[in-house]
Parts: sequence; C-alpha cells; structure tokens
Amino acid sequence: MKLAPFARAALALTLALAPVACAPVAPPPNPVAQVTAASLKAQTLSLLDLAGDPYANHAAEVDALTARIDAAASAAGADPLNTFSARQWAVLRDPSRALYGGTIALWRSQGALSPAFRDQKKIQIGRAFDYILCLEANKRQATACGQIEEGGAS
Amino acid sequence: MSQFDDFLAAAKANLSALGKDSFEGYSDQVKVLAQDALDKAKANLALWTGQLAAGQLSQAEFRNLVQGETDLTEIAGYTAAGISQAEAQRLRDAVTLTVINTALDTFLTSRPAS
Repeated sequence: MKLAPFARAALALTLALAPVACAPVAPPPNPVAQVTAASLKAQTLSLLDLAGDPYANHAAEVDALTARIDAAASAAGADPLNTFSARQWAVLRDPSRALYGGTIALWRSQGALSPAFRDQKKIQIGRAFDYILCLEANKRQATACGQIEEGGAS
Repeated sequence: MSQFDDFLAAAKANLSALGKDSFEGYSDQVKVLAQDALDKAKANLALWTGQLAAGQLSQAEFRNLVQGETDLTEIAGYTAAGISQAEAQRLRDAVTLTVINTALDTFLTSRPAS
C-alpha cells in the first residue's frame, strides 16, 4: 500500500508523537495496595476498640500495626507518580497530626481513650482510609466512592 | 478537501465529543467529594462541642477530633486531585488513541493495495 507523501508525513508525525503523549502522568492501578489499605483499615478500627484499656496493655499490637502502616506508606511513596497517595499515607500516620499517628500518641499520653472519642475517631479514621481506597480505585476506572458518604459522625 | 483536511475534521469532531463527556463526569465527582467533606466537618463540630460540654470528651480528645477533621479534609483533597490526575491521564490516553485511530481510518482505510 502506498501513501501520498503528505499523508505519510502526517501519519509518521502522529506515530512519532504517540509515545511522548502516552508517557504516564498518573500512577498505574495497584490491586495489592487496595487490598492492603482495606486490611489496614479493618485492623486499625479493631485496635481502636481496645483503646479504652491502658496503652501499655496493647503496646506490642500497636507497634506491629504501626510497622504495617509504615510499610504501606513506604510502598505508596516508592512510585514518583504516586504523589497524592503518598501524601495521604503521610498525613494518616504522622504522630503530630490527628488521624492514626496522632490518635496513638494521644492513647499513649492519656493512658486510655474515652468511649465517645473512640466512636468518633473510628468513623474519622475509617473515612481517611475510604478516601485512600477511593483514590486507589479511581486509578483503574472512574468510580463513585459512595461508602465515604455513608460514614461520618454526623 | 484533502485527506489531511478530512483527518483534521474527523479528529476535531471525535475529540470534542470525548472531551465533553470526560470533563462532565470528572468535575461532578470532585465537587461531590469536596462538598461532602465540608458538610461532615460542620455537623461533626456541633456534635463534639456538645460532647465536650457534657464531659464525654477530654479537651485533648476534642482538640484531636477537630484537628483530625482538618487532616481528613486534606486527605479528601488529595483524593480529588488524584482523581483529576487519573481522569486527565485517561483522557489524554483516549485522545492519543483517537488521533491515531482517526489517522489510520483516514489514511489507510479503503485505499487500494498496490
């Protein structure tokens, strides 16, 4: 098959530019990250059920879960295109913030957490994980994240 | 009209249809996420103030919950931004594919083999 010179030039230009245009700006979907985040959400909420007890009684469980969350955060940060997920994990685990890391710090300093606080914090941290999961799900295809609207202290 | 003009016209039509659909869906979802986070923060503040007054929350716990809501809004923002980024990626991939397919259709289809 022969193409007119002009058509051939246009086609060559299109194909030459395609790899440049296809260079990814968003990270690829990661099913493992999604399963990990869902599992860590369940583990965190279970741990908060125990936070009415003295912190010392559960320090080993806290350390183990914190290590798993740190590993998930490191994995998210390993891909330079995964900036937004990495930032989410950083906020979640930061002891100077008020989600997972800050709640553990408060449990440690206060000794035990009140029932009202635990109930509210479970909803809040659950929503944080839901936002992380929502972003992960949307890397694969546009997905409405209705589960976030169902949770909440209101 | 030359083949190249045909190609430009077809690509323009395909791209405008593609861009319209994608941008409509994307902006709605981001809007819903942001509004949801703000609505929840407002309702939660009212609840926690009452719990603090009733002695159900310590001051440190109240402060932690309020700060947590701010942190949560930040995390929601990253989700919205990430969705935008992923949408932009998908749109760009689709645009690229559309341009290539249109080029192939225009230049290679129905041409007699020689």
